This record gives sequence, structure tokens and C-alpha cells, in this order.
Amino acid sequence: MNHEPLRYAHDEGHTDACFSSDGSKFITCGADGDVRIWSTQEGTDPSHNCIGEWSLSVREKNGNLYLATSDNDVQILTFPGGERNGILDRFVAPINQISLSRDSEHIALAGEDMEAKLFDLAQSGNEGQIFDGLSGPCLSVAVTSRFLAASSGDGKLRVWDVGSKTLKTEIECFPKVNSFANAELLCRIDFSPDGSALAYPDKDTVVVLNTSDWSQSSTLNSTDVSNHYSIVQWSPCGQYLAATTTKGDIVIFHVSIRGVRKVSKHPNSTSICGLMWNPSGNGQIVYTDVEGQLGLASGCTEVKSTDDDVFTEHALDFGDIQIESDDDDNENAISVEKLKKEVMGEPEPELNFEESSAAPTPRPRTPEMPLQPSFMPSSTPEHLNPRYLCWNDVAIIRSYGCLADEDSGKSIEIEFHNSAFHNSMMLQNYQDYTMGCVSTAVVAVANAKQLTVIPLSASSKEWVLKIDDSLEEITLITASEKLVCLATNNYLVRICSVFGIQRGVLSIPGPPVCLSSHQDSLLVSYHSAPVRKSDQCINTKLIKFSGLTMESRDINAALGPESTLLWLGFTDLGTPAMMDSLGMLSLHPTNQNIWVPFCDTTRHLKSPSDGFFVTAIMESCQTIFGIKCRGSIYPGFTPKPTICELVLEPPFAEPETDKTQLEMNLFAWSNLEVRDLGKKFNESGLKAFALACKNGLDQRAVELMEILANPQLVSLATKYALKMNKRLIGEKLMELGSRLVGEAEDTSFVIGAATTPSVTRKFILSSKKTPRNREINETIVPATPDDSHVSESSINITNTTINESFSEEPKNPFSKNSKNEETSSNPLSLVNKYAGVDYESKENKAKNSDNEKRKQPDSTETEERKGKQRKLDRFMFSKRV
Amino acid sequence: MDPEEVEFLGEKHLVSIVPSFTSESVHLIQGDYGPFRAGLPIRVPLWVAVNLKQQKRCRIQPPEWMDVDTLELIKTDEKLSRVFTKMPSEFYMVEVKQLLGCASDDIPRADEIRTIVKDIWDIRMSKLRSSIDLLVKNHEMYAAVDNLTMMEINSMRPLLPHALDHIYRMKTFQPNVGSQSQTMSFSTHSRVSTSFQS
Repeated sequence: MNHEPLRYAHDEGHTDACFSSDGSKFITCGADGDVRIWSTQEGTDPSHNCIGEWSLSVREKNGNLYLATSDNDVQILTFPGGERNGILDRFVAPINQISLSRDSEHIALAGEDMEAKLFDLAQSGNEGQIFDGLSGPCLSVAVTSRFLAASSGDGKLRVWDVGSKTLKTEIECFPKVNSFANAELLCRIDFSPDGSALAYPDKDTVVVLNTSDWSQSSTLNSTDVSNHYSIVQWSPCGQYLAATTTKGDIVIFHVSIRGVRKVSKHPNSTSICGLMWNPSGNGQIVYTDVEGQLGLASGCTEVKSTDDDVFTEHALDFGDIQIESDDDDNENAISVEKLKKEVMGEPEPELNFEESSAAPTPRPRTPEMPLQPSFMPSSTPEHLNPRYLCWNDVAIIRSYGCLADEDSGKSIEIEFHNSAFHNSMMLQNYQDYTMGCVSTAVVAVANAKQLTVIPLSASSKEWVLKIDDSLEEITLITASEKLVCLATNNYLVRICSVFGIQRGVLSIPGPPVCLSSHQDSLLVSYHSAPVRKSDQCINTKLIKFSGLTMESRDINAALGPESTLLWLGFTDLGTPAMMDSLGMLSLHPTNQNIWVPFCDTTRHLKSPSDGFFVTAIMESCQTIFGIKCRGSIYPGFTPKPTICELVLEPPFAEPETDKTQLEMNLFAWSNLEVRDLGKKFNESGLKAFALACKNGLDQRAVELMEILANPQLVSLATKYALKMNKRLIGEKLMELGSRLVGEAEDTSFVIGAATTPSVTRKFILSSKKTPRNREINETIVPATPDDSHVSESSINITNTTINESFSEEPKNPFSKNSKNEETSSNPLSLVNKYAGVDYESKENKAKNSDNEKRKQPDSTETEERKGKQRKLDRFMFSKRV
Repeated sequence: MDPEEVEFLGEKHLVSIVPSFTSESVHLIQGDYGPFRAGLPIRVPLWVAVNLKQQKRCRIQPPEWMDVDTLELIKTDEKLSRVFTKMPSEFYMVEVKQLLGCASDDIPRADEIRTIVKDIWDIRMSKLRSSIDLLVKNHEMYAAVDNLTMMEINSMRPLLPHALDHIYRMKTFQPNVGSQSQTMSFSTHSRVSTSFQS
């Protein structure tokens, strides 16, 4: 017995196969609802036709295909054309098997609705006979001109007389099942071609009944097979019986001698669910398995009267050829192999090998990547107990008690970070709330059907919003200072005010994934398309409410390759933010309209299995608050997790170098609204400039100033460059400076003389009127003592100048120097900075980076220094001017 | 120094707390602490932490070493070593006493920690006593002792110099020198010393 390589035929699931009556073609149907017509000849593609969502059984009779379809009917198709040709009958439940009578025009249907139906195709307009009385779904039927046998899920085999519809016999022999879909054993029974015997599988034996007196004429079993038989079928000649087991064994019994003819095995040991002999009697069997694969086995019967052993060996090696030679009497079977064999004699074994490898390989199956399920940001998954419903910058909501367990006490605890703002709350969770969100205005909790909102302001009552529609379910909720929103499974978002006014409803174009809100803004992410090569196609909408109207913007999403969304929310200033499962946190600055990655949280974690659980983002402090979770992406309960802060830093390349650090800061501060920034920005700008100058990268230094385009910074840089004897840079910068000043005046900045820049995005010219002399005085002093120290002290000098330029105008740096103690608490103050420049030990000047932190009182030398300075100033000016 | 004084010094050590209130920085003689932001950890002196905890306005985060496993390790090291091992904190006794006293609900397995630290203390004290005993008996001129914490030093300090002083006096006692009254006083001293030594 020789198996051809398996071919992919259908999707996974129940499949069935049958031969056409002439044996030249075979037909399969399966769980994908396709019906395919294959040719026994090699190399022809099957023609296929879709007839429904799935199809359980197929048979061919008189040029018609009968198909049991997902519409619970028997569809008739023409064969081999495949055109629809009417419907034989409709059932109220699926039809599990179609069976044909070999000696008459009867067709029997096995219905899931506990009945078998018989049609006589010879009589047109036949309504069909119903054989009921089954107490389980009919799994299989077999029919002859005289009898109809049916196996059913109640474990019984029943045989009726077709003419009188009387029950002939009833045998309990099958395992009980409640549905065909759950049946492991298909209990396929068959009458012998002459109708004298009925075969049925019984555990690991096959029983043959004599139809004259319903006695067991023989019991067949194989010592090699211990699995239970599922399907039996007689060969067209009536001598052999093919039986298959749930483990893929195929056994051919020789009925008359009650012996085993052959035992074979499905190549993958998969359960076989469809089997049919070739009706032309050439010993070929077509079978399909539950994985939707199609196999052909040949040489199953003894056709030639050769010695058994020789035949077997021959069939094993050159099985394909053997089939064809078996077909000698079949005019339809024309084969190249046969011709070859006739012309060339025995083919080489290699040829055979080649042929098998050329057989169509199964279609590659891509594993299904599911759409990411919806989730609440900063919550832990539902299967955990206890779990966090929400952990944000206002409070922590914990949920205790397993939802599945009815008896356990279920409660929700809300702990506010700031106990002065509100005391902790404890709710009994009778309603099985699974979602929670808290803002400074409300606490909102919800289950699938109901939203409960507890306003936090004094003397306000809680309110409840119920979803009445039986199909609609709440999937997500969110609460901000002004809004309470909920998303439902029918792609709607409902918006309420804090005290319970329904402010609107909107539709989103896909299943919602995550919801977040801040003040009057709402952020919704949803699936815009199915998964694209394991990338989630998530889109995000930013919706702003004003009154009862709204305005929406699509802002897409920032997800890395093959990642999922892990967190979605707003910063404290209302900038949308999201984090993907790769740990990259991105912000969507309002004016830029693009996602900018701002923190690679994995850089801050120790091991790759750790995760960062984001709780809040403070844009004004340039930090992310969250919890570093060891070996998980969710925080545990004991010990109480500690919040830690990460800095918002864009993931620039080479993050270790000073240059990159400065560039990262400049980029971050230009794009974020960080509080108290003015000084730091200019400081970094000037440091980067000084670094470039020091390394002799003049072009880069000028370029930097052009990019920053800050007149104040340019004027400082100009002074620095002149002092460093970089005349070229100095001239360029002066040019740039005057241009910038001109522009600033053109745009009529009336506040040109403002003391400190308050707006961070645009740096306002502040020290335009600062007396130039004084600044130069200050800057020049440290540079003069020794030429060799000029470059070393350069950065120190810049620090001094920055501080000075930013200190408010009326403040005289000299007067400040004398009152040291007054400002000693401020590490960035002018005096300390100035003191940082140590006039006595010049090697200190080399330390440039840690200057800021240094606090060093240096008041004793002030007077002395002043005198020195004056002299030096005079000297310098005379030299320069 | 009294144990109270050592405790006072130890209370300047910083510990991490999670405040449940928001406030500006506080300006103390020791330095500025803050700003306090609710829910965010911050390091403050031990006495501030204890004070806030007593007002129930913060949660104390135990120092890293205040953990049963770490302390067990220290304890075994201390047992096996002949000399003193380095303690995780200069004021470990003070911190344990203060933190476990007021914030045992914030520290997991507080009772076990208390027992282990007491064990460590006992091991170290017995080590200290036996080494002093050795010092006195062998008439050594000096002994170097590392890694002693301030509290441990101060447990010995009132006694040891005094005892050594007595021994010295006894050794240098010469009955023939000096007046009668002096001799009398020396003899009384020597008697006391004898009783001490026995």
C-alpha cells in the first residue's frame, strides 16, 4: 500500500472526500466551505468552488454533486461543471453525512436534528422518507435498496426496512456524544455492495452483520492496531473492507478469509475523517484528515494474481507506477509514467524521488495574529487578584476579590496620593466592577453594563449610567477633570460631564483599544485594520470638546515593529503620549503633529524581562513616573511598589557623550514645555557651542547658533568666540545676531526688554540693554591671567556669563559678590557660579561639567579681585580697541 | 556619650519616604528638603520621617539592607568572621529601632528583622567583650578595632578607659612613696580595683 505525499486541500476541520462514479476524479469539501475537484492525474490543479462557510459531506451521483453545506441544506452542483443546480432538501440542523446506495438511486442524509432522511432520485418530486426515533444526532447513514442503517449520538446503530419503515434491529455499540462536532469517532457504517452485509466499527474491531438475520457474521480486528475504528467502507468488489482509526491507521481487511490484508498508517498519524474507494476497482483510496490534508493510497487490493510478497515490495518502491498499471483496463487513465515504463522499462528510483518532491507542497499557513484586546491604561490584567484598576498621578484604585468567586468579599479601595486632597475610599464591589479610573474631579468605576461615578467635590451625589441595549457593553472608561467617557463594543464613545450630563456620543471607525482623557480632551485608539504582518494597525483620535461641540484630529500611533500598545495617556500639560510593548514612550507635541520618541524605558531597566509600568508623565518636570517591575510588566502588591522617575530624553545615538547629552536636552526643551527652562536652555546651548569651539569645529559652532536662532544666546556666543580669538566665528555670529535682532524688532516684540523669558518655546531677547562693558569685564577676567589656561577655563567663563546675563538687569554682579550668604541656597546663583572660578588654584578650572553644583564661598578675595579686574579691563580694552 | 546622644546623631541619617501630601521645600539647619510631592519618594532625615509617620502623613520605605535575607547574610558573615564586619549603616541600631518602632506596618517581616538585628548586635557585643578581655589579660599595649559603629563604641567607652586606668594605678602603686594620707587613699583605690578584677 503506497501513500502519495499529502496535499493541502482545506482549512483545518472536518473534511470529506469522494470519487466520481468513473473513478477519474475525486472531490473534497471542507471547513473552508470550498469544494475542490481533483484529477487522479498528476500536475493538474483542482478546480474549486465556494458553496458556503463550511461543508461536511460530498457525494457524486449521475453528474450531480450533493453537498451538505453550512446553510443546513443539500446543495446540488453539476459535475464536473460546478454550477449550482438546485437544492435537494433543507434541514433545521447541519447534515452530517450524505450516503448513496450502491444498488439503487437512493440517497440518505444524516441530520444533526436526530433524524435520517431518504430520497429516491429515480422518482422526481419525491418528498423523502424520514426515519426518526433517534435520541441523538445522526452521525452516519448507510443505505441499500432494502435497508437504511443509521448510527447516532445516543450510541445506537439502528436499521430500518426502507419499504415498511419498520425498525429491524437496534444495537448499542458506539460511544455517546451530544453533537457531531464533538464526536471523536465518526461511526461511519457501510453496507456491502451486494447488500448482504453491514459493517460497523466497534471499538478496536469491525463487526460485519448478516443482513438476512442480523447476526454477526464476522468480527475483524488487527493485532497491530489498538486504536478505535472510526470509519469503515467496503471496496467496490465487496471483498475488502477499509477501516480507519482516530490515530490515522488504515487497515484493509479481507472479509471472506477474515484476515488483515494490509495495515498502513497516515503519514502524520492524523485522524482521518473522509475515506472512499475508487469505484473503478483499482485499489485506490482517497482520504482526508482533520487538518484538511488530502492523501491518496494505492495498491490496497490484490489485482494481479502475483505472489503476495513480491507484489508488496514492488508496490512499496514503485507504487505510483503500480497504480497506473492497475488501470490497464481503464481507458481514462493515461499516464506519462505508464508510457515511460512501457518505453524505458523500470524507472530509476531517483526519478520516483524527484516526482514525489515535485508534488504540490501544502500552502504555507501564516499563524493568525489576534487583534490586541482593549485595555485600561495603568491597570493590571483582570485575571490577577488583587489587581490595580488604575494607578495615576491622583490615586491608586485597587480591586480585591476574584470575580469568578461568588463568596469572597469583593471590594475596591481608592487611595489618594495626597491625603490632604481626599481621604481613602473603600467600596463594596457588589456589581463586579472591572474598570476604574480616577481624576481630581471624580472616581469612575464600571462593569459591562453600568457606570458609576462618584464626584469628589463635597456634597455631590454619585450617579449611575446604565446601558440598556442588550448587545452594547462597556469596554473602556476614562475620567478627567471635566469629562467621564466610556467606549462600548459597538464602536461608540459616550461622553458625560463630571456631574452626569451626557455631553455627546461619537462613533469610532474600529474596535477601541484604549481610552484616555485630560481636561476637555479625549484620546481614543482603535484598530483601523487587521494585523499587518504581526504589526497592530492602531490609529488614534484626539478629540477636543468645547461646550457640546467637538473637534477631532487623527494623530495615528507610534508603535514599534510587532509591538502592541501598552499605555496611552496625556502628560500633565495635555500632550498625548503612548508607550508600546518595546518600552518606547512617544509624545505628540501639540504643534508638531508628529509622534516623537521621548524615552526608551528599556535603557533604564536591568534585565530584558523587566517592564516599566507608566503611571503619569510630568512634562513640566521633564519626567515620567512609573514603576520598575522585575520580571513582569505589571507591578505586584507586596511589598508596595515604589514610584520612580525617568527623564524624558529623546533616544539620540551615542547617548553617553557630552555632546549628545547637550543635543538631547536642547531638542527636548525645544519640543516640550518644561518649567523654569530659560537658564538651562541657554546654558546648554552655550556649552554645546563652547564644546564645538574647543574641538575646533568652527562650522558646527556657527551652525548651532543658526539653528537655535536665539539673539541672546548669539550675543553671548559672540563674546565667547571673540575672547577665544576665533574672529571668524565672531564675525559670523555678529552678523547673525544683528539679523536676529532686526527680525525680533520687526515682529514688534514690545517686551524686548523683559527681564526673564517666561515663554519657553520662543526665547525673548532679554539682555539687549545690558551694559556691554560690564559683561565683557566679567568674561575677560579669568581669561587674562595666563594664555595657556585660556582654553581650560573657557567653559567656566561661559557659565559665569550666562548667569550674569540672566540675572536681572539692575543687579550688579559686583554688589552681589559681596553678599554671598544671601544667595547661598541657590545653586545656580551668580555668586556661587562666580565663586566656582577659583582664582588661586587654576587646575580647578579644568572641571567644567560639575561647576553648577559647586558651592564655594569666596568673598574674602573680592576686594582684591576687583582691583585686579579693573586693571586688566583697562589693559584688555586698550589692546582690543 | 549616652545612647540617647548617639541616637540623636543617627537621626540625621537620610531615609526614603513616600509622602501623602504636597508641599514646598522645608528649610532646616541641616539643609533643604523637598519639595514634597504626594506619592513620590523623597529622602529626608530619619527624625523627619518618624515625625511624619507619626502624623500618618507618609509611608516609610525601608532601607535596602533592612530585609531579612540581607540581614541573614550579614549575620552569618559576622558569625564566621573573627574580626568585625562592616555594617550596612553606621547607625543600624538606631535606624532599626526607630523605623520598627513607628513604621512596622511599612516594613515587611518586621519582627524577624528585629530578631536578626538583635542577634547581630549580641554577636558583635560578645566579640567586643572577648577582645577587650584578651587585651586586658595579655597586657597588650594597643588594639586596632575596625568597623565598629558609634553605638557599639559608646557601649564600651565609659567602662574601658576607667578600668584600664585602675589597672595602671595598681601597677604603679608604690606604698613607700608619698605621705600617709596619700597611701591610704591609694590603698582604698587598690582594694576597689582588686574587687573589680576578681
